[in-house]
Amino acid sequence: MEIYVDLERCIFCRACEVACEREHGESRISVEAVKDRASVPVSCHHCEVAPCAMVCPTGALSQEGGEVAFDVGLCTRCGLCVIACPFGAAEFDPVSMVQKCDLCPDWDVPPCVLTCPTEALIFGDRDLATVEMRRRAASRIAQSYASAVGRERA
Amino acid sequence: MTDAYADAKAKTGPSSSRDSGPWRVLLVDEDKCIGCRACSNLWREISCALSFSEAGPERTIKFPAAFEEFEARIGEALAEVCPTGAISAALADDLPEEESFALTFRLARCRRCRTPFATEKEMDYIRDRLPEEIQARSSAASWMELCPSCRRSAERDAVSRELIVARSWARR
Repeated sequence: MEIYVDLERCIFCRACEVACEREHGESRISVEAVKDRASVPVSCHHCEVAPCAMVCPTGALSQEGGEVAFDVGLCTRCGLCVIACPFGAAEFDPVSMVQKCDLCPDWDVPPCVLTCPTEALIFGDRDLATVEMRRRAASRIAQSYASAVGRERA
Repeated sequence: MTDAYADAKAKTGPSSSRDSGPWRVLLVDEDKCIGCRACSNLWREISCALSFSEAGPERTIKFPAAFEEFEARIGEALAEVCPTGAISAALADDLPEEESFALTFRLARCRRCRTPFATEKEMDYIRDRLPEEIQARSSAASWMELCPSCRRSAERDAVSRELIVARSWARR
């Protein structure tokens, strides 16, 4: 299970950031606009081959069946995971603990996904996310075709 | 040894009852230490500072040379927390002459924003542990040369490129 993003739908409302902050005290997902044309949420990708887990000296970060799990009790705050993450998705400053998406194990669906007003965030496995994105892409094509036909008739 | 240091030694800790050692001293292996902040995040007596010299940005970590008997557990914790096993505590007959010692590390700058973000030794440590194919993507410059926040924006640019082209087209 993972959080996938449908960029077509993200409207830069940052509700996911607020939801995450309410849950964890600090937001582990960050949304920024790109060239005023798109906005992209970035959080832990739960990499299949995870550099953060490879450099973690204590095993606080580890790969557990498709997730990169974080055990706070083992973390020494050395900060190596932060500089080993290719996406800059793990964060921390000298006073805080490492902040990384843990997919909210206490929730059936993480609050960021529940909050997203446009359903740009999709929680599920890769197959589910792929099917959903393809369905949406197909419906967008159908809509634009329908509107083109509509214009011709008018 | 400064007077203030001697006074502090005399005031606190069970070892102050004796005029001579053994003293508990902190040893740091300069070759092994990579300048991460695991120890300074654990114990605030170890300080970490950013400075700029002619050679460029540097991180200086300052260690107290000796510590009190009642802080013995800290010594163990520091040794446990150090990712490279550079820190150890030992007993010494003489109190070290200096009350503290410092190690200085050259910092790598982000290729995009020029912010110093990690010590060069930290980057070497990471380079040694990651497979080559993770370190570099085929055409673009390696993410390892960027600071975490520029990595995020590089990722954003990369994944939104197609969408931005499509949306720019629609507006014409």
